[in-house]
Amino acid sequence: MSGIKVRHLVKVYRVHEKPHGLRASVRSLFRRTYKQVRAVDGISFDIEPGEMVGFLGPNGAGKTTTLKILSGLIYPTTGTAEVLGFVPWQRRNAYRRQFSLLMGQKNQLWWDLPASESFRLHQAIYGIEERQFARVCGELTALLKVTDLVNQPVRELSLGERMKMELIAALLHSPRVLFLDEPTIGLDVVAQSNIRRCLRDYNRDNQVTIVLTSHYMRDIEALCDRVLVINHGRLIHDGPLSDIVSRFATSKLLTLRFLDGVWPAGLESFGEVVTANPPMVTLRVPREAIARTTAQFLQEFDVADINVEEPPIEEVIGQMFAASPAPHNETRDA
Amino acid sequence: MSRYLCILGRFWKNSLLREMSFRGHFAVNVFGELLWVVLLLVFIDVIYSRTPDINGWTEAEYLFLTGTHLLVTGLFEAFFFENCWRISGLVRRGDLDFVLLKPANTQFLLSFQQISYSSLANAPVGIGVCLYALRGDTQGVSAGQWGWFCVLVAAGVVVLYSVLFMFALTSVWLIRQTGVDHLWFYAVSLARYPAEIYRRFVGGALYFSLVFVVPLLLVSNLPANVVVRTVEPWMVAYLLSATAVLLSLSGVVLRAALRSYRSASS
Repeated sequence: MSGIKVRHLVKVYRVHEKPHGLRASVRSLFRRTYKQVRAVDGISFDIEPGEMVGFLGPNGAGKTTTLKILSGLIYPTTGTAEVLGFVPWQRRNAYRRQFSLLMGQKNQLWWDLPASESFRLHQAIYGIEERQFARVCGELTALLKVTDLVNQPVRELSLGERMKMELIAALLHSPRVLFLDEPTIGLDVVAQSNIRRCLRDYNRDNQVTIVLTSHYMRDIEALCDRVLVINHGRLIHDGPLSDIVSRFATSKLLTLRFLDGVWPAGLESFGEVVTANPPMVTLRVPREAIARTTAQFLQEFDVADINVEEPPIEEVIGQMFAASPAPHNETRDA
Repeated sequence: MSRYLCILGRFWKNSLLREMSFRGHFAVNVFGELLWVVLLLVFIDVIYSRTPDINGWTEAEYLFLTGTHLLVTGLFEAFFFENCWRISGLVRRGDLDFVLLKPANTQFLLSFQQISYSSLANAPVGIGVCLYALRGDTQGVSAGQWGWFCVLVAAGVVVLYSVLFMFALTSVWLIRQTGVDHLWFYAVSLARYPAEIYRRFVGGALYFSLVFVVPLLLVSNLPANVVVRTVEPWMVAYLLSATAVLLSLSGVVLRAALRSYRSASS
């Protein structure tokens, strides 16, 4: 059974460089300069059916471009991809019936009409049988607790409610593959949690392959066992989220509580002081020195409590992106 | 086929629901359309109060042409104008993505999503003006002439659709392309008058271009001529062929445009 197979995928955009100033703008009317930007730069990966994979990367890393290629919206420059055995950009109806792309920043529902009317339009477009439509729609509205909102015009819904309706529209035809691009962006923590719970349950019950991009690490931590990390269009990590920490975190956080509430002098020599709230202090200590430093504290000072933990995943990923060198992926032409 | 009829029904139902939720907007639009028709008829009356004919066209013939024009443009505006006009916005905002994701013919989804019921009012008004122009003398028009009239009106609508659809699709390459309404205004303005009046301009080049390059002049003239004047059979064959070519070309241009579509950043 096929999932997603991507090999050496490259997408190069030709982007007009808009100069500053009136004179330069007038000149650019006659002579334009362009740069070639490698938005996706030779990535390869496989995703098994039923897997739920997080796609991480800073803004402009190439995540959305990759999802758009896999959805068949844009053509790659080179490379190959197969989803459910289809080449996405051939845009076969048989493929389009089996996947969904949900974009958190875009709205596909009819703005002035109740979501139920857009759902009915989806039913017609996807050719969903009435019985299946009623069942799936009923299940999803109940799961997302929006049964009493489906007959309210979309423009009158809150952002979170609207996103739930978008999610229902994306799931109505029971897709086998779901691409989610920032599905919780702009939502409050309760709405984020609801969407996450719905996605987790839906994936568990239906064995749907899900590829999720999100800037909220909670989304990824809660939902994805595996993450693909992309930066400057290149894949820099493919594996469990926890591996990112062990692979890329250069330090650990050592939190100490001193018995008499007095800190020994020269704490900075053990590591960087992150926080200092008497009687607690947290130090960032290089990984290779953590065992020795911990033992040293226990032997030499009156320590009431000691805790060693990994740094926050966001911090590690930030370090990872910073450490990942920007390749020369721009060329200019006139 | 039945699925597409079902989709079409949903599109039209949703458009109706939307228009009904803004009754004031609907009423103002219908009033605007009707006011325009009244002004047009007054204008024709004023002109013909000073002259018995314009380049061989009597008032009744010209009124029939005006009615035909209202019918053709009313049908186009009702079914296709808004759909063509919104393409540029769909491209610029990246909302064309949602059309491409759907398992249905992209040209169909792009062309039929919206219907303007207020513009549709022009169609019966156009028929009314045609019948008024004949002053009840409908007996002199054969069933065959009415049949060809209907076919050529449909062809005229398809020609207008194909030209504006292709023009709107250039937004995929140009990104910002808001000239659809301007092109529509010029097309409507040109096609409203008897085609013969253009023969005198620039040595007939304008007439030739608007008949044989982009047959905008024929969309109202030919169906009107088939009822109130005479038409060369080859011109009918030409318009029907041009309609088929332009419609096919619109599909080719759409495929080329979609190959170049970049989708706006999310």
